[in-house]
Amino acid sequence: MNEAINKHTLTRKDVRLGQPASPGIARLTAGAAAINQGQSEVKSAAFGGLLSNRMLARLPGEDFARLLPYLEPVALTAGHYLYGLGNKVDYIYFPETAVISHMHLLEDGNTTEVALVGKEGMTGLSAVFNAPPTSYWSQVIIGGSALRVEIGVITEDFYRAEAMQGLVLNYASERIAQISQRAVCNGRHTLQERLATWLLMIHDRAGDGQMLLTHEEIARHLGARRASISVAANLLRDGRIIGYNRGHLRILDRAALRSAACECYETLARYNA
Amino acid sequence: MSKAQLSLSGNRLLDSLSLEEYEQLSEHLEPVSLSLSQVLFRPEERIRHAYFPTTSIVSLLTELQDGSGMEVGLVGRDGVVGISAVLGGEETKVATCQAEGKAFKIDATLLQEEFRRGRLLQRALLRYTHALMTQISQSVVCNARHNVEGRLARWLLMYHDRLDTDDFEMTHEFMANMLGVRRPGVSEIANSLQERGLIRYQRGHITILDRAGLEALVCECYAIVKEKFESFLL
Repeated sequence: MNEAINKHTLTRKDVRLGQPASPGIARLTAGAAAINQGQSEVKSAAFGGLLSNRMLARLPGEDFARLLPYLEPVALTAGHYLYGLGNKVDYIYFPETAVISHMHLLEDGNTTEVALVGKEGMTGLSAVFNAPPTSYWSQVIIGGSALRVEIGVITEDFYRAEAMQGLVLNYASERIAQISQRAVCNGRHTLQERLATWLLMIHDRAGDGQMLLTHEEIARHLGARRASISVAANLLRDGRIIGYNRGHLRILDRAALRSAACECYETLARYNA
Repeated sequence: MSKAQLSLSGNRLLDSLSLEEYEQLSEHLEPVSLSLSQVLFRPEERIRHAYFPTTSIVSLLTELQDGSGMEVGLVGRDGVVGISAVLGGEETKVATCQAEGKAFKIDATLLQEEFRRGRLLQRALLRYTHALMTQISQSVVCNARHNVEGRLARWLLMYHDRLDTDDFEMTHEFMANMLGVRRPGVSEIANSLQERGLIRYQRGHITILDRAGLEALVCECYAIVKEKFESFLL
């Protein structure tokens, strides 16, 4: 599993060449020296706007400097498993342009997504909280870049009550808000509304990156039948709200998609920025 | 943990602490009675107190703009109400007492300070946070996939697990929020369980008649969450 990811790990050469897979990493090395000299205010100057993961961007300079040598840029390909069911968490991933799904498998073989993680958050909360393995697995839904760190590096700062602790706890609170909203959404709203809300959530995290999403794939995430997703998606396509190009989904009219979404999107979007 | 400690509080999180830690914390714990339908907090309020239920049960509800909502989790003697006091961030749920009984109340700021000291309380609260996330996640799955009778059986068993009685109050409105249906639909669903001899449901009062029968009817979500709650403090 990790080998598959390692193949896509950027080399230092890629970083110097400014490969697009990890927009935040290009100037990391340059800024590190200054930060290590204790100039924590240098962080924003060195990385201003470049650290696209919100949690890392919010980490104070000294805390970030301590983490920096352990941050590894990785390119995650759609479909990759970060953690299988019941697997030990070895790395914490801070997505940049990649989007991760937490997927639950039902007894009948169907699946439903319970949460999305993008640039606003991190994976591996269960491991940081020293909890038993999760009842879902984590899979890349939209390929892109992420920064990963060995779990031990994060837990050390977390349990020393460094700034990382507050950031992780706060994110856990937002995750609870996300799943709570999705629970009520799945119980109360139509599939058409849920589809629009979900596409907006993905779009907020992936940006204008490639959204390789077939109806089959969307059905696996929303916990619905493929035929029902096709009906809902075709309505959006016929209204020129979304479009398809060889399996790539594009959002053509974001304002109209917001009108098609349920109120849950407004609530969920509060935690994106 | 000794048997003697078990009788100290009646709440599993508190009982997982060492005797010394529990005694220090208990100076801040105020025993209170929670009454049916008492609202402990609402969204966007600053949380002033957290509650460790012992014989009471508190429901966590996510509300929609039209005033309807859905119960996404519940907290009994195996949890704490107001975990956002520890996590920071704003509370997004309505916490309402659904089975009257006792709880220990603690000032939110004090709980956060005790959390920061590390020790066993921190461990219990973090592991509980994850168990609660599992419970809510399972509602995400269940609400998308499972039929309403299986879901009703699930909530009834979850309540029954946290009570020492087979009888409890459950209003129509509350059952509608558990199941995500309109109030008039509730009677029909409850009747289908009643006709099978699994429960008695009269004027907002539920009696569990056949627990094994409910376990046979319940969706898989029940066992997944139960296992997490049984193991999270081990």
